[in-house]
Amino acid sequence: MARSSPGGIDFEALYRTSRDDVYAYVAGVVRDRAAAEEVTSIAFERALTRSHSFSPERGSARGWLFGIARNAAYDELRRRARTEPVAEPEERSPPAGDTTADAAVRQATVAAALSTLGDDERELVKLKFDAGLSNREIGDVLGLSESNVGTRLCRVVGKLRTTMA
Amino acid sequence: MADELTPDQRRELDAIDRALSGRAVDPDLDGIAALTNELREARATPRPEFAAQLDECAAGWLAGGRQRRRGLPWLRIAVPAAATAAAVVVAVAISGGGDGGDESRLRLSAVPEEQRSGALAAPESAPKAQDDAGADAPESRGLELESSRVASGAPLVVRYEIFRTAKAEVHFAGRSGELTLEPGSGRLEIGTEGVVEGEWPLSVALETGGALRTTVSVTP
Repeated sequence: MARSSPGGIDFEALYRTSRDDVYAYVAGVVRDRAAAEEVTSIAFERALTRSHSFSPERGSARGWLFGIARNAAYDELRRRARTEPVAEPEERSPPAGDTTADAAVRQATVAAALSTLGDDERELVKLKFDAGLSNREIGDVLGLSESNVGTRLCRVVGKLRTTMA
Repeated sequence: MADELTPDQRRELDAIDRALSGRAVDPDLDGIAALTNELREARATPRPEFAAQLDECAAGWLAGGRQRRRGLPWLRIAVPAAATAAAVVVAVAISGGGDGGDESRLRLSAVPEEQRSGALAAPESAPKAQDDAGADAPESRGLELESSRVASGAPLVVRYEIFRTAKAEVHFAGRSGELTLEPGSGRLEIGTEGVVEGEWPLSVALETGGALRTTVSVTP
């Protein structure tokens, strides 16, 4: 049943194991539900269209997919920056999630801690905890070595723990 | 090298990975596991309606991939910019072989104001709402959704007025397409065939800068 592309990707498996992770990561970047849905669709569409550009020697399929998702998400942010004064969405709906009171408090605490991070650090958190990528896959996305990702991740986690303590 | 991980860092990273996969961590690293779980639980999850629609699209894409020699021509549609104002420009995604690939299509039509043909069904009338591309847009006066509700199968209509030729990129309900709009005003009609009932994001972006992004309710 595996459907492989010329690049050797089993897309069916990649889609099945990555759909929610891609959405979670993209939603964290674009911070808008409608845009997150659109960008997630675009990311999978592009991945399938560009499967020939995947090379296993250059990294994992998930790392490659998230590289595409990341580019699509940042394209969206750039487009938004260009068009926002002209066409501000009527209301940004937050990405779907747990909305109980406890969860809201918890999410506010996490959000406050995340807001203390720099852009690169937040990116790392999204790729690790929203997308659930391995450190090697994060390295594929960001062009960093696995150990460099690990070092940065430890630093960020330490920072968050201090902030949330 | 400076990136070399210490044994403690390796343990912390291992604890994060273990927590992410739901496995137990050493008691002294409970704090790391708790933080990992907090961050993981705070992540966004897709709406079931969107997930179902994306699954449907993905199934179509994968099925289409088996039948085509290359690429995916099923969504991207380019209409020649040379199309004259007299023409009703209709762009239809190319079918994957006529064996049920309809659900992967996004049909786009541009109907210039003066040459409205009436060949396409008129949308229900409804209060004008949503985004207006605004008077300060140098290349376009506006993109305006005619109605934020549409019956599945009826065209979703976006009124446009542009001052120069512009490519429009449309994303709706997990599908996408492009077409070129000629200067003037008219109706951009977006096919909703096969779109299931629910709230779906719509995005129309002009390469010249105007954009409309909103949510559309598709009814049975």
